[in-house]
Amino acid sequence: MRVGCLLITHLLMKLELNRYPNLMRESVILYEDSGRNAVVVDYSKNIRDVTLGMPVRAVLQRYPDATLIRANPGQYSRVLTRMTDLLNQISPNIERNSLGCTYIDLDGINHIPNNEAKIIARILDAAPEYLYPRVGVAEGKFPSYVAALSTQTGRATLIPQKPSHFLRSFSVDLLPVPSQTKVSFHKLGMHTLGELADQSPGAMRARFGLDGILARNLALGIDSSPLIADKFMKPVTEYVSLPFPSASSEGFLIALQTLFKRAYSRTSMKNRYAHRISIKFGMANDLSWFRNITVKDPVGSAESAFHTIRNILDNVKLPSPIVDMTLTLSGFTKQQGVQAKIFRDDREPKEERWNTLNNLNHQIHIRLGRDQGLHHIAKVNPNHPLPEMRFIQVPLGFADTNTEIVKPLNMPKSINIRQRNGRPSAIYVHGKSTHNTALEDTWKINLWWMPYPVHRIYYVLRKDSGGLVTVFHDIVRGKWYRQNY
Amino acid sequence: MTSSYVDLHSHSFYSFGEGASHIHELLERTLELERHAMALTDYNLCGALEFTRLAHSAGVQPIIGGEIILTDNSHIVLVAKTSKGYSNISRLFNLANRGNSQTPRLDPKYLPLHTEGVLILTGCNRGQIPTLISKGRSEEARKTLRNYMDWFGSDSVYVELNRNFMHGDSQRNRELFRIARDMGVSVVATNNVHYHHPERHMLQNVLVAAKNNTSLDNIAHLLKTSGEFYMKSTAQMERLFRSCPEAISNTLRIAENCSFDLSSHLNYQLPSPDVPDGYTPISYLRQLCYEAAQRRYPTMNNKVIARIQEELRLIEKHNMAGFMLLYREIVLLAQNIMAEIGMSNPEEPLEWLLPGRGRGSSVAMLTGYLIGISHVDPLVYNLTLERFLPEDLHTLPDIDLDFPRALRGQLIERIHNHFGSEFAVLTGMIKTYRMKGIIADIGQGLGLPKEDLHSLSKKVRSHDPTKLREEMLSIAKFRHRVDAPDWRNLINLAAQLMDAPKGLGQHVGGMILSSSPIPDIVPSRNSSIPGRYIMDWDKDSVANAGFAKIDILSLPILDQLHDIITLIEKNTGKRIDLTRINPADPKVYDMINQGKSKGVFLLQSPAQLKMGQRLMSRTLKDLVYQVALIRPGVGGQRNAVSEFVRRYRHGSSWGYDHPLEQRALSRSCGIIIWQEQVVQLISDMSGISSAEADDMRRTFASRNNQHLIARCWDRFRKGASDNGVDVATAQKIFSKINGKYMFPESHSYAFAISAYQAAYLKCHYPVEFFVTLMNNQPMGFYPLETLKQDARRFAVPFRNPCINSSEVRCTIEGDSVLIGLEFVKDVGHESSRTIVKERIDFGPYRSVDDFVQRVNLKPRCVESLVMAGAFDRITQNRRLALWKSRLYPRPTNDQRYLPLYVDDNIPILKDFTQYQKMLGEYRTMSIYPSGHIMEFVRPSLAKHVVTTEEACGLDDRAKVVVAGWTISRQHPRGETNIAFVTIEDETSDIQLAIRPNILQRYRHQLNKFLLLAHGEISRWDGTTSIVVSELHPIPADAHIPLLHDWN
Repeated sequence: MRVGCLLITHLLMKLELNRYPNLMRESVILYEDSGRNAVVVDYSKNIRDVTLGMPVRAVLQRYPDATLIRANPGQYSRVLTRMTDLLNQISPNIERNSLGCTYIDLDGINHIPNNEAKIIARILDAAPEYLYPRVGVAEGKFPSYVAALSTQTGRATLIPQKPSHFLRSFSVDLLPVPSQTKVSFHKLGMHTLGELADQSPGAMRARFGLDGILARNLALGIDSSPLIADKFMKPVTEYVSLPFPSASSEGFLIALQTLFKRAYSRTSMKNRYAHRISIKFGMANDLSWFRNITVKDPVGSAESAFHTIRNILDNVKLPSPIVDMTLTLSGFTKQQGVQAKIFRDDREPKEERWNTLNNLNHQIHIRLGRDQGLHHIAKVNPNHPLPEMRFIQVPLGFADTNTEIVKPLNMPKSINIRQRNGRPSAIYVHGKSTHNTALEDTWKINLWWMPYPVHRIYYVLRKDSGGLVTVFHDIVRGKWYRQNY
Repeated sequence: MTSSYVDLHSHSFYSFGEGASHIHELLERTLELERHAMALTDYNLCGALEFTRLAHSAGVQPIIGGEIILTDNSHIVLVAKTSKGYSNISRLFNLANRGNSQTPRLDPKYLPLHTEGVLILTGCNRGQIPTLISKGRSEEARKTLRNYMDWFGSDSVYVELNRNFMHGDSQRNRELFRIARDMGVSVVATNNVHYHHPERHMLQNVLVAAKNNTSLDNIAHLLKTSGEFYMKSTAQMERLFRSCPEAISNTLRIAENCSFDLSSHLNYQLPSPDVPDGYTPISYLRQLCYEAAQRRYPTMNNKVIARIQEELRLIEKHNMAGFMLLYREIVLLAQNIMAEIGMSNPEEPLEWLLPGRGRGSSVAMLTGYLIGISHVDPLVYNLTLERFLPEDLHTLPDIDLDFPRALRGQLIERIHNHFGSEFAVLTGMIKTYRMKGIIADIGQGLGLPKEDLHSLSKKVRSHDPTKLREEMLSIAKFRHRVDAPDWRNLINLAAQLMDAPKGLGQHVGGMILSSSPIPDIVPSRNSSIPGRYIMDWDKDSVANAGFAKIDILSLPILDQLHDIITLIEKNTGKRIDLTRINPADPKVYDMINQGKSKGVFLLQSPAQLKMGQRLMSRTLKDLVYQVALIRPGVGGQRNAVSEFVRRYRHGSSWGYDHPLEQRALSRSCGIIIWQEQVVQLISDMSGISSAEADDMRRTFASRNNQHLIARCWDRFRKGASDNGVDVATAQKIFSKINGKYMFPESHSYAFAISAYQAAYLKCHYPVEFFVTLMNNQPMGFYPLETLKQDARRFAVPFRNPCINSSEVRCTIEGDSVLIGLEFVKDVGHESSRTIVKERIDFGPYRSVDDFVQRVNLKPRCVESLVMAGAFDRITQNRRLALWKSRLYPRPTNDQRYLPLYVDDNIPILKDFTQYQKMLGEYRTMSIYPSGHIMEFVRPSLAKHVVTTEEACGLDDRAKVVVAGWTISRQHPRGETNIAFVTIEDETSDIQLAIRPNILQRYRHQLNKFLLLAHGEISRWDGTTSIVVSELHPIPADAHIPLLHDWN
């Protein structure tokens, strides 16, 4: 099988350097948060002895002045999708093997004279120039990959029918076998594909099992593995910005639930089941937090998706308050292949009840407009010292994506106060009538560490009429507000 | 002091993660507010004694109490009225510690059992009664208050009112006041002080977050967000409680009732040792001494008898016989353990093979030598008694006991069991905040990224948190963050936390024995090591309490000495008595003076190697000076070490700053070398007693001591003036005293003797020395590779391990050291034993195939053995051995080996090059027995790069370029701020001196393993070093073993 390989080494780093050209000569590490540790996903060319997946902490010990950039999967996805679309126009059968390595089935399309050169040019054109793509063409995926690797950027290398001679001088590190096996090859002095190809098949099988046979065959240029075309569907991404930075797990779970509902209410998601769920929390201090979750049973509804990941997220401790949230669903399948559960999850809302509420909500939308509907009050942090950060209002159904879907409750309202000795002695209601007041209670709140420090003195005042009213003096702004506590 | 209010509920840093002020800061604020008393009520009693001592010195009445958390997480505050009351509080803390010692909780059922002499306050808003009131359960609150009244008595129960401007305070206070009035209970106002000054509320918030292992945002609801938990003035408190003035006046009433003084009311006594019927402690000690003397001295001469009689007279006079026998009891316990683990013969008299040895006063006592608590015959070394057992002894002398590492852990548990866990408890250790901990904890509380915090911790070099901003400015990554809000907060708060108590740990081995239950004096808790118990007090508090602390310490040299003697006896049949070796052997001193004492206990650090060359010791006395000089307390005195060498070795003239210095400093050429000299000097100059002088010495060593030192200076100046010393001279002499560590004189003797014994064995039995040195790693300064290089210079080559010859540990093979199998990475002790046992049972291994089929080891383990050269004697080609090591399927669990057919068509594999073999050996053993990495690097270096041996032969100030492997890095915190790096090559080693400006430029290069250094030869006082001008790394892909770093 004639295969073309479009190779872009260090794809992610090249994308980032295109965004930040001033870092071109710097030591740069691209990383992502993987559970507890930040790990390297790519690095610039002046960094050595670093492997992908290595903890950033370890790399920083060697390169203490390296610039760290957090990986931005959303942006990469856009570029890759565009490249895939262009390659699909050349051949219907393409395999995206890994980031930066794509195989194109050339059988049947390159038999026309001089056509191969044109095809190679189109393959090269599929990638932006700043990514320095290269192409290799050979019989089989592995030889074409090695051919691409050996060529100069922006060029192509074609290798003949029997590539074994061509492959001899290349390192065994290129082989798609477990890294432990490659380490063993080196330990035994077999550093090149030629040295591997010289071994007897029996000895290789005895020492390395099937990996040994595979490695030897590939070293000889024998690669009959088929291309596995992408079952590609664009990931679905939803985003929400919170009304205030919140560290409450209840808060982010509610927002997440809303995002799931919005995602699954899209037309394109009908009968679609997602294998992968990516969540990104944007935080105060310009931080962000990622979690990529691959689910065993693909999820096909907002409820099941939410309940599936709730357990995972329940114990998450976030380093900083969340300001926004992005949800991405990907790895889609159709319903086939999903095994029905024998046992139902009791926490899932009763379907009937849900449908009734949904219908009711739908009616309200129709009669009163899209920004109206049923809402529920969700606890964010019921014990938070600031009342406006305790509860939020969340729509029950599918709100319009353009409207603000999460609203804070009990926000402070500006009020005019007459003071005596620095304390409120009377309050003005609607700017007209005045209530003389007596002080019943007072307390202070100083949240000095918040992005916008909060320093308030609350007063509970008893009006002439006997009623109580709670006001506070915002020390930072020098203003008075009324707020239930 | 006329204040009408006293703080009765205050927390210090000792409330670990709750309080945010030092005790001295609270006391200073108390004085500032003109109060005569203050209560400390931390969540433990860790700071109780420090508080008492400091309060007395400040003229404040200390009231001891504690806030105890009950099992329902509610709090109560207890205050000691009497000695019995203090014991009860201590007991209650002890009971709370029984469960989880990290988060002590007291079962309320114990409260009624320990109420005598205790006064109870209902606590803050988390108190049992206030919590019930906040929940609207007034009836239950009344019932609980009734219980308190029944248990403690009505006059010992106070309803506590707080006004900290937290939400709900007013309402709760109103209800509390109503209940108190209804039930006839007095009320008392407190401010639940958590810090002395309002500005500390930020630090307090952050500490709470750090304690909860989270950031401030996540626990906002748990924080004291009003910022009003500081020590308020009396006027402020009166204003806050103007509607209830009796709450203020009652604080004075309580203070008057609390007459207990912790510093004088402790009921501590050493336990009595077991003596046979018909004996008194002194008569039994006498008998033991004479029996041992007859064994030790076959011809008992008058000198021996006179010395024993003199010592026994003094022991009887000072009532120390029981004390000595108690030590012997501990040593006997150790001997039992030695016998159990096969280290000694239980039939032999104790003194033949001591399980441990003293490092304190006992070294000079013949009785100590005879009853087995000392390893030194004082008659051989001419050690006199008067410095260690004087006629006017006031306190019990300090005897620390060193034990082999293999023994110590078991001994501590044995002592707990022998005396009982309430009568034998380990001293605690207060862990304090240092730079890295400060960055980690405050940073976490502020929610800064952990990666950045870790990175910052790694990069900062200063230990002073007030310089954090400067440090960050010097690091490219953090330069731009210093003004970012959260980082700015970190910088501001860091300085406030330096040296603050962080938690309670375990002292290295200080054991307290008591005749009465220790929990009645101080609470104890389970240590993190099962079977051990630690108390709330650290060594300073223990000393202040007058406890006799017996340090059960671990000294790896003892393991080594034991092993050497056993090995020599096994090889030669001769048993060496280390107490009888020649103490003035010129060969031994030549070795020390040539800087060849690497691996020798106490004489091996780069500084000691240089000191040997400078001091040129010829006697044990010289060696005593040598070991004492390289201590921070001596080095901390300006030019003291050089000055001593000049005076002592070169006979330079010198004088005293005042004749009163003579008695203290005459024996050390006018330089302070030992702790005793500091005490003597203070006493002679200022006329105070030795005990007071020792207190003053310890003040210098205590944390946050500036204000105390100022008081000491006043006292010193006044006393000196009375003795006719002018202020300038007094100031000059006072400035010689520092708080850094220096040896006691007896300690120097004890250690110098151990060091001499080790040096003697290295000099005369080098093979045995290096074998046992390897077997007792880790010990000392250097990586194995350096010790191997040193051994080569003593004509003791190392050999690669061999599966057919090596034992588990290193052994002697001819005149060389055969590396033991357990030294190979991935093999370990158990696998090594399996290999050796199989070989003994069924004969030598014939091939790699034979080995893997007979010994079921993990493939990685076999590979490591191959790479370490363990198969070299049966298979020449290591690659071939590697191939075969994984050729045969490995049976799992108890499966029998299945001899399946395998293709034996072995390919022809080229063996590793010598360089590759070296890399493999470094990786698997951290040692390359047959050479040195620099032999391989040398050909790639320019011709003008000389070896370290050649460099040592160059003239002073000659320009030089050397290359080598970094074997030690040190950065003493002295005035010069010079860093010292020792590099080693295939010929020798040499020290690089790196000045601060060069260090700043090349600090990142210093972390590289192989360095190329340009510089200038500096010859000084018999030593040679290179003053560096440039440093460059040499790339190498070897896994170089780790080194002793930056200490």
